[in-house]
Amino acid sequence: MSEAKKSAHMKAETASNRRNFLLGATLGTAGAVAAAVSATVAPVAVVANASALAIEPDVKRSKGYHVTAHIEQYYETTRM
Amino acid sequence: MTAVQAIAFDQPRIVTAEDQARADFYALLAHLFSRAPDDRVLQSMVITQEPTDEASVELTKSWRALSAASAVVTHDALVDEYESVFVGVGRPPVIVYGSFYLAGFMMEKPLAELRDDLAKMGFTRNADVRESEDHLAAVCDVMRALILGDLSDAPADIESQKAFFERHMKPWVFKCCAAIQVYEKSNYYRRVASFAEQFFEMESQAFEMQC
Repeated sequence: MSEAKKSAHMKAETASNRRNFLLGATLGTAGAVAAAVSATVAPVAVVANASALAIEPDVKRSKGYHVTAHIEQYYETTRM
Repeated sequence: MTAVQAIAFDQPRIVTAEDQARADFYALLAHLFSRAPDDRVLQSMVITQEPTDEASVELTKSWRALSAASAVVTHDALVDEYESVFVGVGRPPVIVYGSFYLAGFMMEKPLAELRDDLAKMGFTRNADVRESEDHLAAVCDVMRALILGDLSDAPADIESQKAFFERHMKPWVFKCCAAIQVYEKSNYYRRVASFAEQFFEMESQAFEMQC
């Protein structure tokens, strides 16, 4: 068998092993590890989507100083 | 009206069964390295149907060993083990930050480079999390997000996945897994690290073949 054929054969075997493991292991576990981890536990979220955070409204932001009826009433009490 | 108009379609996110399984394993590893798993997660890892013998021998063997350990260990025992392996008193006995393995210290230049790349990809640090982005759990979580396409409507292409893996994981994750396996107080986590090592090896080989 030529080197090229050997290499192609090895690649095909590695890909097949990988596919067999990935599909076999997830099907062969109780309740499927995928469902348990992906649905409720993951993501760990050490990192997050930057754009999602960027559009998040800042609800806690102060409106700054502004005159209200209460403040005007206070000013009235301080007039000499 | 212009001759060509961009029309936006809602493209369904297409993830193959294999890639979904890869993402799930990255999610599992991210979870296991970030905290001690609870009993529900442990039970989900118990094998009820033996994987086919045609799969990679070492990978299957390490998965069987982890699964068997998950069937008998309890969450409380793992909380203690996690603390003694990854937290400790003062300096953690086993460090799971990439910067340490690449530069000899934590919070070094490799972390800055990782942050740059994460920012370019659209990731930012979650303010609720203490750990820096080069934590083993974090980089596994990034791989999961790339495979599933968390940042867009489609999974990241294989070249982008490979680039992240080769630049920010491959140079140090094997050393980290080895350190966990040789630490005397590792028991369950020795099996986690053994499986992680085999899984990363499988990923590395697959990237070499596909790209």
